[in-house]
Amino acid sequence: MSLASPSISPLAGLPFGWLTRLRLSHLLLVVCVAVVGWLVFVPLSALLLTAFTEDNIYGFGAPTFDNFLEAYSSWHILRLFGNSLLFGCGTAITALVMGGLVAWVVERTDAPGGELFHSLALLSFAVPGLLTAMAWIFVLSPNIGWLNSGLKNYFGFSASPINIYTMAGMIWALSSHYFPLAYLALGPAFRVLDVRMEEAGLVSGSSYWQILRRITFPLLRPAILSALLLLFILGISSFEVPRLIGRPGRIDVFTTEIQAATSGAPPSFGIASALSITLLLVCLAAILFYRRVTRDAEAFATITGKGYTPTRIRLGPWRWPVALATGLLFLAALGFPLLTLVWQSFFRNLAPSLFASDLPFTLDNYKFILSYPIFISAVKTSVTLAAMSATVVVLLTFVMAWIAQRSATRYGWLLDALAFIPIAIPSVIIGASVLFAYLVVPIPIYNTIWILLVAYVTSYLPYGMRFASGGIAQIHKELEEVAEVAGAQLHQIFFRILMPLLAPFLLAGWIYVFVLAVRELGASIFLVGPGTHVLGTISLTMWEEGGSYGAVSALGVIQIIPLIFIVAGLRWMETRLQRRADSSTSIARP
Amino acid sequence: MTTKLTSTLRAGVFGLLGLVFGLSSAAAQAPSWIIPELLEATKAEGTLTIYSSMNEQEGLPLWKKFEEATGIKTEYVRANDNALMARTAIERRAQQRTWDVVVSTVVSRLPQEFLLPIDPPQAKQIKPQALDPNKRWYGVYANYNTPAYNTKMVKPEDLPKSYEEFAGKKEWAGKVAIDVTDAHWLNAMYIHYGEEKARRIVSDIVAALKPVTVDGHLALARSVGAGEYMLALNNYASLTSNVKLAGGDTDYWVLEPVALFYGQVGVNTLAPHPNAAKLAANYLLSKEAQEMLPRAGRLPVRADVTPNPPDSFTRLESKKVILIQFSGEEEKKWLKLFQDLFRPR
Repeated sequence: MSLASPSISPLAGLPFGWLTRLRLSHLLLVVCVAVVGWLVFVPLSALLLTAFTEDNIYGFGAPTFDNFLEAYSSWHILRLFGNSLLFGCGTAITALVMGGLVAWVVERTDAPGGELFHSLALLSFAVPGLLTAMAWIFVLSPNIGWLNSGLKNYFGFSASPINIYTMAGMIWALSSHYFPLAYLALGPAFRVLDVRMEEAGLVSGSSYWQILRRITFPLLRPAILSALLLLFILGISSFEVPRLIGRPGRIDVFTTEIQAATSGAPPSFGIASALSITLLLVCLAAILFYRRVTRDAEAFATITGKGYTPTRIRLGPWRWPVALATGLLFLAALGFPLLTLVWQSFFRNLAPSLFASDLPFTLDNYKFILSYPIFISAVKTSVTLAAMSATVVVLLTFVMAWIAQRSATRYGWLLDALAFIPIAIPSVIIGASVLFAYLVVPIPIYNTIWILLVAYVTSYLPYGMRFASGGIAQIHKELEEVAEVAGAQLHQIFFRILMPLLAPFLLAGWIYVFVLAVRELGASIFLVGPGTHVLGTISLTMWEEGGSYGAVSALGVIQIIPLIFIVAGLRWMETRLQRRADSSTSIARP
Repeated sequence: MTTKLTSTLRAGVFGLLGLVFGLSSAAAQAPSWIIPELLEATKAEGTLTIYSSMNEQEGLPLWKKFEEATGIKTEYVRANDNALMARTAIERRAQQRTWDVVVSTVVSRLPQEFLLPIDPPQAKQIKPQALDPNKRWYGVYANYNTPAYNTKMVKPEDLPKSYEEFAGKKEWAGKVAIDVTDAHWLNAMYIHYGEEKARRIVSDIVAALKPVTVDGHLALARSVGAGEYMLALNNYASLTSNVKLAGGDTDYWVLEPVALFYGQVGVNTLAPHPNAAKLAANYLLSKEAQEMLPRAGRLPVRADVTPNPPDSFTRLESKKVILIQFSGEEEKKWLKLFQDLFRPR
């Protein structure tokens, strides 16, 4: 049974007698939407303005379409478009399959090692994309890749059997970096999937394949599509792998072209913006598609007022083989690049083979990084900023996702799109527009940590939105309706019903945003000031200005170590929240 | 009485000697670049904001000396050349007084209105080509462009003697790389060989060797040092030296023409601390500051400072050197030409 809930809506009933019904909680909702609107308006307006005006170092020039003519007048653009789509789709599907398998093993089965896999998945984000791409070159380059070299020696191949500088190599390198995200996005959905629905299918005589196809997949559809959407957009907007692997392989994508436009001196922001608009349109189309296929959201809700049973499948003798296979997947996707980085960090130049007779080990790279003048202060700034960004993003997107799905459902797509827009705007443009906006607007945050926070929150809204949307879609609104009928206020519904049930989703989103923000780079380039250096800009400095391969690798390794402790602490908290959510839903069971 | 007089005289003599020695040692300690009247004004301003593309490992010790000598606080913001250019432009759009002095290879490409004409006394000691005739920027370090090779993969005797010979080395196809933004080098080729011949030479190299275009000069130097590529068709000699000094298997050799451009210093017309900025520019051109640059392989602009390795200038200037200073528009034009030649669409 579903009850209508008109008074929950902060927008419903306006303008008649709205003053009498307006409560503080409603005002807060409006404020949240306004804040997100402003955050997105700054880079979006800059993007549109620079795309449609002459490139002029002194300011915005006269209106023009020249940027579009220059960006799109060659047939080359079709190749870019095709490559970008292939790269985005390939990465999304590969990462989803890998992450989905891990999510199923960790969340739905009793295979051992779940905690370890979960922690490894989180840690993988700590390594900047640039370093992951570099590590894959050390593994799979036809000239210097140790795996190729090993395969050649062992099997007697005359040429290297694997070439990282191909589209398949690019997809693999990025998927290996992003599959933990698919796991993080799908994990909570797997966790709350009511196993009784599948059991009912089995009792009715369905095969496992039929259950998977007709029960499990449909129930997971919002989470799967949400993850697919996120991965696809991350794929087409990613920059590091195309830069390090695609460019030498002569495989250009949109982001390669955008980066080329922004790296001139002076940078061609107009052309970069004109190109970015295509990315933006592709992203908006993907969001509309997502909304369309998940519009009947209640059909996917597995957390209802009737209770649910998140039971694990018993694998029996297959427990260890399944765990081992998952471990091998982690080894291939994360172990190879991470271990290569660790190994490389003990050598100044290209690390010699593990079996070389004379190994010139050195700890100099670690000494160099740890004694780097601004390293410690950058760590503090990055961690503080990451924690603040993750908290603000999760709170804002939780409210936005709730309004989009429960309150203003008619305009939900608009809110969803609004929060998603920054993902298609290159981070350098976000940084540049935030810099300009807060130099002009009389809000004195220039050269402070707050201007970085604004840019980070803007950049990571889309990620928070996907986690929150996926979570809310999983919770049937009858829980809120019942609470309202029982006289609960909006804030009580938020804090006593939604928050506890959504906690695993929100925490997963928090962790993801935190880890991304720790190593943010693109926007920071324009916004760091004296005393507000961050880890991302140090990584770039190491890459561009004087760091050896060993120093760059050591920096990557050093970034992972504090995150091991942070992630372990967060995992402990997540487990507690999950237990609390389980116990609160068990009360509702008949 | 005599004893008292003697001791008074002794004390006087010693006092005088002490004063003389004290003054002379103070004079010896006073850095050559200090301009007393500017120093007073600098102290009154209190701080100096520096935008620079030098990494902090190099940049902070360099500016620490300035802090010690002047007693003012420096605020150092490091970003790459292009980001610095974009940032200064954005801040200018907003008419904000944010930075005092900028040290980067793009200073000469900033609009003239951004840069204050200055006349630092130390500029008399730097190479004449490292000076802007309009006095808006001064060279601080030199970027000489030469090819480089992996010393384990290529024998020195197999190296081409000219760029024309490159195209004959077909066995190197796919193993030669160049940075995707090497427009300075291309411009020097066109000046040296003439447009038609230069285009033919470069086109032949592209057709025969299919050079891989990579992003970043240091990344290129590292890759050649590691053996990912056998050769770099062009790179900054200082970066090849940097990787070599770190133990990489690489070295450069010199072919004609050698494109040269400078990392420069400029002072903001909207500098919040203009006196400190002028003194800072003078400091960067001084022997004291220039002697710190070669530690990481940078090539100084003063003839009285020894580069690292010491024979760098002898090697690099043994061939025809062509100075390239682009404006923003010229850079765009040459970058496009470079793209057309190396990454045909």
